[in-house]
Amino acid sequence: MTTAKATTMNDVLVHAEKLAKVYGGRIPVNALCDASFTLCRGELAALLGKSGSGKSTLLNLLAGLDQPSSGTLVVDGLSLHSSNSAQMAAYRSGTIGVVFQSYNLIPHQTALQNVELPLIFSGQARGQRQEQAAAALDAVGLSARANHRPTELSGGEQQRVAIARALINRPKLLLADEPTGNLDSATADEITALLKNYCHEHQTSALIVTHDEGFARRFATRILRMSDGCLQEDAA
Amino acid sequence: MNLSDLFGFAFHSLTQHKLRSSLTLLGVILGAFLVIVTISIGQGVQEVIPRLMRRNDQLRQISVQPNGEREKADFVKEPIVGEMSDERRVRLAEAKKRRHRGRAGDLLQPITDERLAELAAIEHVESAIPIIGANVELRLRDIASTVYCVSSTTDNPNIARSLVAGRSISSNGAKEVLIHEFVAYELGFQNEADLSQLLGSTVQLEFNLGGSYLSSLLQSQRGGKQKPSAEEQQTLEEVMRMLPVVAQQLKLTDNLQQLLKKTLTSFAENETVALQSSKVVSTGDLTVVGIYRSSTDEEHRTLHEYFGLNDQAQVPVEVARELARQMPGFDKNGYGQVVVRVDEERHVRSVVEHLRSQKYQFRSLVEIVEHLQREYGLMLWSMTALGTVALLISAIGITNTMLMSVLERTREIGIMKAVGARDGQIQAIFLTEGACIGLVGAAIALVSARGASMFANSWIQQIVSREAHQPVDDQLFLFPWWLIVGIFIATLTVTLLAAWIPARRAARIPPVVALRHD
Ligand SMILES: Nc1ncnc2c1ncn2[C@@H]1O[C@H](COP(=O)(O)OP(=O)(O)O)[C@@H](O)[C@H]1O
Ligand SMILES: [Mg+2]
Repeated sequence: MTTAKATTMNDVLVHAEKLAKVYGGRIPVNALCDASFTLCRGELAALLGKSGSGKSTLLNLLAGLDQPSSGTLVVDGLSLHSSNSAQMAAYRSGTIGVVFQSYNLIPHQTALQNVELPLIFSGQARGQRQEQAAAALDAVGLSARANHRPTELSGGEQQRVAIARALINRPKLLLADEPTGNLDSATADEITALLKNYCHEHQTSALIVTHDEGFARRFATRILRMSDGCLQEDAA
Repeated sequence: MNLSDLFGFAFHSLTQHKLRSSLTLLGVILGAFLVIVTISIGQGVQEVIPRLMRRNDQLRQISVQPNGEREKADFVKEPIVGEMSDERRVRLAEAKKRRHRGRAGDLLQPITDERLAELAAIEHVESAIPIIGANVELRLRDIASTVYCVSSTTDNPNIARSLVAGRSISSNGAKEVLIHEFVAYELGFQNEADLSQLLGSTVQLEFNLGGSYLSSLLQSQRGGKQKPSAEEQQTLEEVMRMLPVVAQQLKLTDNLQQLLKKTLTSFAENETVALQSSKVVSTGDLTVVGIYRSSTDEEHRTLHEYFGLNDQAQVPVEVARELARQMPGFDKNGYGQVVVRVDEERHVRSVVEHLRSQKYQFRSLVEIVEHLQREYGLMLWSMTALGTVALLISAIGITNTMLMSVLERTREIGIMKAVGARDGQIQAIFLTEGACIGLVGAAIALVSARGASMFANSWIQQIVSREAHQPVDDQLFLFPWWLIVGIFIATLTVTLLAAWIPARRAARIPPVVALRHD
């Protein structure tokens, strides 16, 4: 696959070549077949596809949460297909931010503590950490709910907390797996706007998984499609 | 992520499940408590025993006695006679040997003056002083009294306490004597004020070798205080020569007459020989320098000293030795007991070993103390082992609980990894939880053991001092610094080991798997 416009090496953030994932087990599943694509810095892409088509599989590979079965995946100069667990952890901590459909907040910690979490692992000092987390919560409009636990927040509020957490380390690549899948359309629009504004403001690349065609068009400049583990791209 | 972050995580997660954490902690506390208490009481016992013994500086002393083996007397060597099986003959010969053991024949190894010098020359031995005691006659001018006299030394701490008049002996070789207050009373010094008159008087201690039966009969009829005079002795001799003649004047049958004459003649002959061969061994002139009393019941109880209870006179040891040497059979029997004093407590063992190799019989408190320490030590160490087992069982509890906790928190672990946690950081979080349980458990166990022991200490002290009628400040439970440090290290090690497997497992969960978990 080639992208529409010519790119220099410096502009390339993500480069995948014949990336494949086979889930082992009793019956092996070819969830991703030889996917190749490139994402440049500052690009916003949407990944569309039916349920079970392999979108999450690709996103987990990009998020450094899983290892590909074959192929190469280089993000920001790091070859994820051949990295050890320490390099992967550093990558997750410094290069990317992930937002999940099911929020994935720690239930017994407050909103502020959840947002603070990535900073603890990246070794920031306590005072700085809390300041930064409070500012991030403020940026998603939730400073009033800083000391509430996830169970005391609405779905939209929880996803804002998750977004604040994903962005707190100023990632180069924002990954989101159906971030509005569990939300009503009005809230979904707010979340979409929030993500889009942030990416524009901070020149951050993003890959958003969705099965909502309208959302994809509103958000992204590039649209990738997945079906039965095969990746295709709409012409620009 | 620094230590305070780790403890923050641990505290947070432990307080999430208060009941579960408390129960896990309780196991650790009980195990550590048991270990602490047993070690603590063990320390107390190990220290109290020698301290009690050390009160009178007795740990440095060894009481040495001659080896009881004796040369076999001739009759023991005689074969068993009569018709019998060989087995029975051997049995009887064995029984005969056993029956006469230590009773017949001369000592093979008496403690003579030479041996005494050898004892004193053993390395680390400060002094070897014999203890001599004998019934002698104490003569003051014309009155005499039979007294049991013992040897004494200048360093006897009991003398000063027990003196009622005068002073202690000035040296171990001084020609001096201390007299029990009752002997003074018997000698006629009844008024308390008279005692000072006795001080400075010259007395002799004498020992009669031989002597006639009648003469001693006469003396004992006078209360043992007055010896027959030379005139009386002569009269006695006369009486004895007369006895066979007197018998003839009695109106008896011929048979009885013969029998009585025979008996009286041989008696008179023996008595005459005894009178003529009797010899007096004397200390020569001794100056009375002090008068002492027996120790009181109170002193027995508190000092374990029986001073002046059975003796009526005390002379410096060299004076006593001089007298002892003149006693018949001294070269065969030697001294009955010698007190060997060692320069330092830690050298007692080597001296004891030397004595053992030289086949002496001896009693050393150090041996008794060591024996007690071994006995109690064994018991207490086995209790400590039990406590350690309890601690280990609680460790299995920790492992189990934490494995459950890892399972419950799998998704949380996945989240942490997704936002950048390294495997080592996840592992550290779980190890810190184990460490927290260990540290808190050890601290609570220490504090409660200390509290319990203070209570027990004062309770035991109360009982003991009521029994002993004196304040006791011995601590049965001791908490040396190494116990406090050691229990923290031990508990921490055990709980960290217990947390190791769960922590490894948590760290190794692949993030996708963890995130899919619910
Ligand atoms: N851990 C797994 N083991 C086996 N098969 C899996 C696993 N995860 C996903 N799959 C399968 O891989 C395919 C792609 O799944 P997924 O990437 O989750 O799809 P999507 O996110 O597009 O709905 C599906 O057929 C799914 O059943
Ligand atoms: Mg999916």
